[in-house]
Amino acid sequence: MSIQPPSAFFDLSALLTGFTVQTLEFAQQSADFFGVFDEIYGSGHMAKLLSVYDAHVQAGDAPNDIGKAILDAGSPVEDTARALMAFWYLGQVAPLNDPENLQIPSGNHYAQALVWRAVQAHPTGVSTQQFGYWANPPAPLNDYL
Amino acid sequence: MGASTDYDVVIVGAGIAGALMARELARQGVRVLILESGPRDRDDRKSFHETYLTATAKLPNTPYPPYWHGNDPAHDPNEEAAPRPMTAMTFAWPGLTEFQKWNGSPAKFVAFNRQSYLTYTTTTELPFLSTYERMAGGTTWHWLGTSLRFTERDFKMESTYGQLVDWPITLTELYDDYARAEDAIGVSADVGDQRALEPYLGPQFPNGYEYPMRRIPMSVSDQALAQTLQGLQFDGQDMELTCTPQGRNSEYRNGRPACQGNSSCIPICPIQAKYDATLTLQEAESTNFVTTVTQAVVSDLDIDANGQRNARKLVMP
Ligand SMILES: Cc1cc2nc3c(=O)[nH]c(=O)nc-3n(C[C@H](O)[C@H](O)[C@H](O)COP(=O)(O)OP(=O)(O)OC[C@H]3O[C@@H](n4cnc5c(N)ncnc54)[C@H](O)[C@@H]3O)c2cc1C
Ligand code: SF4
Repeated sequence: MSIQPPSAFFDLSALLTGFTVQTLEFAQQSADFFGVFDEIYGSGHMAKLLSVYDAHVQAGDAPNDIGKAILDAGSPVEDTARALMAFWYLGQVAPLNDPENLQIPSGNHYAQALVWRAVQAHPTGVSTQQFGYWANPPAPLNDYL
Repeated sequence: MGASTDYDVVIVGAGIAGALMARELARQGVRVLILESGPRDRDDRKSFHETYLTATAKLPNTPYPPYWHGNDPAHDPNEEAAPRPMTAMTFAWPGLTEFQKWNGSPAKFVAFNRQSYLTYTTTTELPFLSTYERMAGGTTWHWLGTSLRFTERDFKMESTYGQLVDWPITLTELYDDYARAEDAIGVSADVGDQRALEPYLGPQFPNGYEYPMRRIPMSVSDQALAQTLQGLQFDGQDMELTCTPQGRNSEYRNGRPACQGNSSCIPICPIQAKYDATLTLQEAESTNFVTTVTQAVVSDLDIDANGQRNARKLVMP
C-alpha cells in the first residue's frame, strides 16, 4: 500500500501541469506517482520542494507567481519541479544523479501520463475506446483536463 | 516426448508459414513435428504487453525475448541460443552503395553478423533489412497485418520489367489459396475498394468474392488526406486514397474481438484483434497430429548424396 500523498502534492502538481487536482488524484489512484518519484529521483527532494511550495502559500503568493518562483528557484528545487512535471506528463523519471537512466516504473504510469490527455488521445497500447472511434474527431480538450 | 516419436514431416519454425503447413498437413492425417527455436507465450501476452508499456524506446522487437535492444558492446549475441536482429541494426546497416564500396573490407559486416542470427555476407547484394521474432507464432507477433494480394505483374516480373523471374503459376490459379489465406488470417476489407485499383493493377479477385469481414473505417487523418488528394494527379493518373486489407478484426470473429484501436499493432496487439500465427498453431495442435517443441534450435541439415535431407542437429537450451 502506498503512502497517501499530502494535498500540497496535488495542488503543486496541478499548478505545474495545468491539469485539475481531480485528474491527478485519479492518476495517483492507478499509479503511485508520489511515492515512486521519491524512490527513483532520490529521497527527500520532494519534501524539500513541497516545503518551498508551502512557504509561498503561507505567504499568500498568487498561484502563478508561486509557479514562476519555483521554476526560477535554481537547483535543486527547480530541478525537482521540472522532473516532477516530466514524470506527470511522460510517466518517466530518472535518478537525479543518473539522468540517462530514464525509467517508466509501470504500465500504469505510462498509461496515466498526462501527455495522452494533452493530445486528446489514448495511450498507445491501452485503448479504452470502441471499434471505429478513430473515424470521428476526438472530444474537446476540456474533456481531458 | 512420450510413446509416439514417429513423424511424417518435421517443420522448422512455428511462424505463419510453419503453422499453416502443419495445420493443413494435420487435417490430412499427417503426423507433424514442429521445432521452434524460441519460447512459447505462457501468460496470455500480459508480460509482453507490460514490457512494451514500460520500455522507454518502443520498437518492433521491444516486447519480446531476447530482451537485448541496444548497442551494449558488452553483450555477446553468440551467448544467446536464439538471437535475432534488432530494429536499431536495420537502421545502421550500410546501404547498397556502401555495401559495394566496402566489399573489400568486410569488418563492418562481420561485426553485424556477430550480432545477428541472419547470414548477412559480404557477397549478399540485398541484405534482409528487417527484423523478425523468435517465438511460437513468429514474426506475426509484430507484423502490421496489411494483407495485400500480389498483382498479375508480380508473377511476370521478367517479361514485364526485365527483372527477376516469371513464375510458373498465375494469379488466377491462386484465387482459392488467397481466399483460404484471407480466411485463416481474418482479413477486413471492402473488395470494392480493391477493385477500384483494377485499372492500374489488373484484376485480383474472382467474381463475387467478398473478404471475411467489412473494412476498417478510415481515420480522421485518412479522411482529411483523401479530401486533400481529390482532384490531384500524379503521372497523368487521378489520385485516390483507398484502404488496404487488414489482418485485424472489424467484428467479433472466431473468438477474437474487433479492433479497439490500441494503435500498437506493431509491436503487440493487447487484445489479439490482430491476427498472429499462435492462432493457427493452436488450430494445428488441436488436431492432435502436431507436436511443437519450443526452444529447439535446428543448427544443421545433413543432405545425402541423393539430395535427401535425412538428419538434423538440434540445440536445445
Ligand atoms: C515490423 C514488421 C511489420 C510487418 N508487417 C507486415 C504486414 O503488414 N503485412 C505483411 O504481409 N507482412 C508484414 N511483415 C512481414 C511478415 O511479418 C513476415 O514475412 C512473416 O511473419 C514471416 O512468416 P514466416 O512464417 O515465414 O517466418 P517467421 O514468422 O519469422 O517464423 C520463423 C520461425 O522459425 C523459427 N526459426 C528460425 N530459425 C530456426 C532454427 N534454426 N531452428 C528452429 N526454429 C527456427 C523462428 O524462431 C520463428 O518462430 C512485417 C514484418 C515486420 C518485421
Ligand atoms: S486493437 Fe490495437 S493493436 Fe489490436 S489490431 Fe486494433 S489497433 Fe492494432
